[in-house]
Amino acid sequence: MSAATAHGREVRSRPSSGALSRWRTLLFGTGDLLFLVAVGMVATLVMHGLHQLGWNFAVTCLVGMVASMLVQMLMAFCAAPLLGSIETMIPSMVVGMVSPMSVCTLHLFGREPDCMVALGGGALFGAAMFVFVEVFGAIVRRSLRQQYPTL
Amino acid sequence: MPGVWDLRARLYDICEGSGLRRGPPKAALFRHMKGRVLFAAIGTGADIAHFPPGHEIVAVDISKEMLRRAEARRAGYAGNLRLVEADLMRLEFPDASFDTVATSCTFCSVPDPLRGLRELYRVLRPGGQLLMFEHVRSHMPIFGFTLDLMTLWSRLFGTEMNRDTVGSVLKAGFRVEQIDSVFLDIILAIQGSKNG
Repeated sequence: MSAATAHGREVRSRPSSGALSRWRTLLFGTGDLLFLVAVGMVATLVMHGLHQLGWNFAVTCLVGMVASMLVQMLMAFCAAPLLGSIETMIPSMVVGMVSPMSVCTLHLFGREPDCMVALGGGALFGAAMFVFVEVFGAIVRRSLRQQYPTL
Repeated sequence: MPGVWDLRARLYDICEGSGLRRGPPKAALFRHMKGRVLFAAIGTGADIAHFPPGHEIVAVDISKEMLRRAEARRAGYAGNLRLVEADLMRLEFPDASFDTVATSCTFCSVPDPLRGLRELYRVLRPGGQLLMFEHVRSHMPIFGFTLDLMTLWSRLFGTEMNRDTVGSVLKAGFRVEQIDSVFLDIILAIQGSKNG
């Protein structure tokens, strides 16, 4: 089932149906994955860089968190026109908060990760958040379909 | 409040105007428009591209600047679309004067959402339909907390990210008939109606 819009484009009746929808899902999914991986890497690298300055541990963690969040927000604003504002901001905010903390945690236990470990850890957090969003999204869609069968 | 939105109108299209991701789900929701339509609030008119053609639509907004920016898009609509400056919580339309009421990312920003929804309920005819494309607080604790955090600063610019809009819709008296997920349980396409 399709419908014309004011500008003559054809759209599917439900966002989750049809080949076009599957392509959109694939493209936006790829975009989301790359974006979250990038946010994880950059935010974690910022925290890693601050730990290299040799400041007080608590001050480093605090300043690092603020800096990581600022970088994450900037990246989210830049990606918003392409991937959507809420769609980028919410998951990346979690990545931007949690991923840099892993560097602090390692420092707390006397381990100093090098740059590549920080980047790899950040990428891993980003990818994990992507998987989490996909799984939770599928659960939400199934739950809503059961609660509200198609009209 | 209109002043905040006049200011935000200048940046609105940069973040929200592309419609690249939300366009198709919006079009899928708005294709259900029937009869005389009230659209609240139109903003810069980014949603007009997703309206089905040939309808009589009255689109309101509280901001003069938003309406000024929406004018170019209004002219491109293949139907009868009228822009009106109005406060959603104090509409000057008679009772039961619309067949459909539609919104798009509106109720995160209405100061008193229940009052706004009751006003929409008043102007909708019995049996008329409600179409809402709205973002709400997530039930997932980690995302819900993130939305609560965001609201600490987004509130300063007139937007609350953590509202229970579906609950407010029910409290206002509407019947909720369909909810589709657009993004997790945060962005929802809601279809409802006013009991006939």
